[in-house]
Amino acid sequence: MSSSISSKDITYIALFTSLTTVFSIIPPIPMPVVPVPLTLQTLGLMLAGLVLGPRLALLSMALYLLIALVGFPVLPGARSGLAVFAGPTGGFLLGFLPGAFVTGWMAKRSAQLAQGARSGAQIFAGNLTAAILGGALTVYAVGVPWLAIISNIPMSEAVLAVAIFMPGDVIKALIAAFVATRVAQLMPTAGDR
Amino acid sequence: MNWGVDSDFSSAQASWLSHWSAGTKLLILVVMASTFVLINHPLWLGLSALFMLGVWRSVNGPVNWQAWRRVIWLAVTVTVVVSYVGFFSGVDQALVVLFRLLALLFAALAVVASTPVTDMMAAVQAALTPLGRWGWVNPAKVALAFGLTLRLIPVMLEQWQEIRQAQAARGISAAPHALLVPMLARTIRRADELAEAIDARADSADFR
Amino acid sequence: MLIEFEDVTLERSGRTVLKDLNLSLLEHRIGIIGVNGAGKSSLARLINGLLTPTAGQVRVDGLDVQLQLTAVRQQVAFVFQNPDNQIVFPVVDEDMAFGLKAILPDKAARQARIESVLESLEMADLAKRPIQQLSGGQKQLVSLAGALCREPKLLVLDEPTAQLDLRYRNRLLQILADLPQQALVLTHDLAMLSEFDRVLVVDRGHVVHDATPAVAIAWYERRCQA
Repeated sequence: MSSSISSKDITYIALFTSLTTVFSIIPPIPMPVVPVPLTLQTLGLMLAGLVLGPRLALLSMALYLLIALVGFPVLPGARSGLAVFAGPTGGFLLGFLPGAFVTGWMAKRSAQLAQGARSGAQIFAGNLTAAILGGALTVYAVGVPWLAIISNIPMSEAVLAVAIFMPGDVIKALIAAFVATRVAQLMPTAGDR
Repeated sequence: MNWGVDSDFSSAQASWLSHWSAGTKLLILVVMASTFVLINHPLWLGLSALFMLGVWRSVNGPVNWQAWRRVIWLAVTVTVVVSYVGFFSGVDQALVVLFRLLALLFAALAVVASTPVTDMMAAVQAALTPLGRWGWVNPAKVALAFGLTLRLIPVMLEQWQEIRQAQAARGISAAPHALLVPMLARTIRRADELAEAIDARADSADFR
Repeated sequence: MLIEFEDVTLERSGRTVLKDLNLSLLEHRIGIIGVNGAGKSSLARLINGLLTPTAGQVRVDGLDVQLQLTAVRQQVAFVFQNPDNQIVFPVVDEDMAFGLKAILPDKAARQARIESVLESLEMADLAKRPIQQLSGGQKQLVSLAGALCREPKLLVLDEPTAQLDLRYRNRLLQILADLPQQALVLTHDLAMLSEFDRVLVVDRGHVVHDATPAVAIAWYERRCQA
């Protein structure tokens, strides 16, 4: 696998990892609908999946977690990666790995299934589905059990605990899908689909 | 923030624990973390938490406001989770979870405080070498991607600020999508130039 | 070194960028000028194999660029226009070391060469500096220094002064004037070409004028006024 990664792949991976880092360390941004400013960290994940495709997005997020683990302050709050991995929210971070892959895979699938040129709305719909299923739900699928186990609570309570974040994630998925669609229209030869 | 590898954002200081290799510490941490998660007894967990606090303190030096500041986010998370558990499952469970989380976090913080970034990088390199020999990863490419990411973070931060200012100057509000489209477009354009620069310079020894 | 283009045609994204190009370049200092989109950058990138000709052959020092790419890239070093998009590692000496392993397998020898090149450019104190702390001009000089570490026979520079302030432009030109290597420079900065040996004007995929700097530039300036 390693031999098939080109220098262009490496630059894409590094760019999206650094993009996710920037999104994580800038102050939270006011969002439409949701009353609280949100961090854009998840947007980094979703955009990586939508633009890079499953393989490169997974590698990009793996690199992000590796850099966090090594000790660079690339997580929101600029805090230590190891402490986050050891805590109740570690699963949500680890979930970035399958999350990126699923997002990329689903986006690629909807492009393949379409058989021919898609309208902007169709591309958006495909991206949105991918971002929600991959960028949000897959991450929860790893984060919620992790939280439940660490906190000795049943899964239902763990799900309830994170429910408050779901509207924010849906908004982020909408934004990510919109941005990825716009950029795909502006730059048809970009990325690794 | 200084993103050079020898930068000083790392809080690691010399201590009795810094002589242990990063790999050993991480392994021990994983074993301990698993143990803490499996135990449910408040007494044992409480003692573990206390012990880990002691370890952290002995490694970190006096726990001044700087150290607490790093921990504030974690403290908030712990408080929220423990309160939630207490509300739904009662005080006993809340205590178990509190002690467990404290044990986990102090252990992790102790490792962080005694392991400078360079040690961690060495551990990563050591872990990647056998994987490289088996053909699973190419450690040279990982190192390049790693270095390139660190190199790009300040560049991308500046790019973000530039876009924000440009949009503000045009009177466009700081709506996320208005900032993100140019951010993503410019990011992708960089990729092609950087790939050329790497191709022009890299030789087979970099990617063997 | 002799750079040869033999019946070279280059098509990119359905567009013909260069057509039936035949060139023989041997001079010490060669300039290439032309309006944006004329094909200058593509021409330069054919020399070190960043682009592959659709037809024809490019040879450097007798070596076919496509067939002996590694050997060619050891002789030819490239400096790009944007200081930010060609530096790949966060610290000066780390970045300069990239690409040197095949040339200098021994780490100490690599470091020694890096330091001596920085010294020759009066930048010795920058060796351990984080790139982030450097100005655009300093970054460009670091890229040039990195290129020089390879001890190439030919330096290709793509609009090297375009993003530099006057001070660093002058410094770069001064360094360039003293370099023993052959250099091929793409530029809009016509004043820098006055001491060059040969200047080519490229327009819409063809070399439309090829002469001494004074003649070629005068021709080009007249053309641009029309």
